[in-house]
Amino acid sequence: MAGGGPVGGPKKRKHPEGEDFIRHPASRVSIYIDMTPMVDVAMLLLIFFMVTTVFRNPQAMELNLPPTDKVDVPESNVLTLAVRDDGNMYQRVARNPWQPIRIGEVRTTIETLVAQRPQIIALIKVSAAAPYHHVVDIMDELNLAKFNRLSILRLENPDLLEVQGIP
Amino acid sequence: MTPMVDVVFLLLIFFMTTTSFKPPEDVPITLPESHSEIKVPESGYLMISVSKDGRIFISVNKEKGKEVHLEEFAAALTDARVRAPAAAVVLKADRNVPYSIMADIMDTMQATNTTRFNLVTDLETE
Repeated sequence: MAGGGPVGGPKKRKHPEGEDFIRHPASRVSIYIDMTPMVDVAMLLLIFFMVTTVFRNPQAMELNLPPTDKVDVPESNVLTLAVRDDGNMYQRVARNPWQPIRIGEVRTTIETLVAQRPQIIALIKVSAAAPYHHVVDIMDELNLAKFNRLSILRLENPDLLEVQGIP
Repeated sequence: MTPMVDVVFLLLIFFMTTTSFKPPEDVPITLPESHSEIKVPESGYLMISVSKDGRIFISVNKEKGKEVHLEEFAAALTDARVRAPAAAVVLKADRNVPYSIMADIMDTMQATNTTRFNLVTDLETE
């Protein structure tokens, strides 16, 4: 029996149909995916969007210009707020002398005046070189005082001379 | 790490969907501040921008603004309003523009019957 033949060999031999008989147990190989680069990218995007997001939209202030027709108002019912080139503000009622006023006082001033004279209107006279934000500031204060009978004009002579003359 | 990645992605998607990029600005403008809480409309507006040095731009519906001179402003404004009849007029001016320029602009707007408009401001916080 030396040598032997192919017949009756060990079980490793190929099956006549060619399939391997020996089966490996179905091993669960845990695949490991390195998530670090993905997390890096996600974090980067997250930080980008967090930084660029603007939650605060700009606000708007509504302004209605009156039609061009004139309305006569008795002078005693007019509060004039004048803004000088340097941004200093002065106010007067009717033809009283000019009084300096700060922006923080506008609201209380108008509230007391409205209590005394319900028909009062406000003229905001702004000199040509004064920065625009003074107009917005005054309008904002008047809006806060729920006052809307106002008119915005250029500060012209003779008021301009009077107000610029105040030291 | 999985829960952290979940949270990160959630935040990422939140910020991606809520972000709306600022429309390109024609000129840098520092807005004045007010307590007004009306919102500028999201779209469909006619924006008049006035830069610190008094240059005027008109843009319709977030398009790139067109610079106009004060002399041609009336014509340009009428033209823009014809192109966008339903647009709300929004006036966005730098806080340090000299008032004379604003007065000229407002006079022109009044003359061309644009009497309702919004002034863009930043919300003032005290």
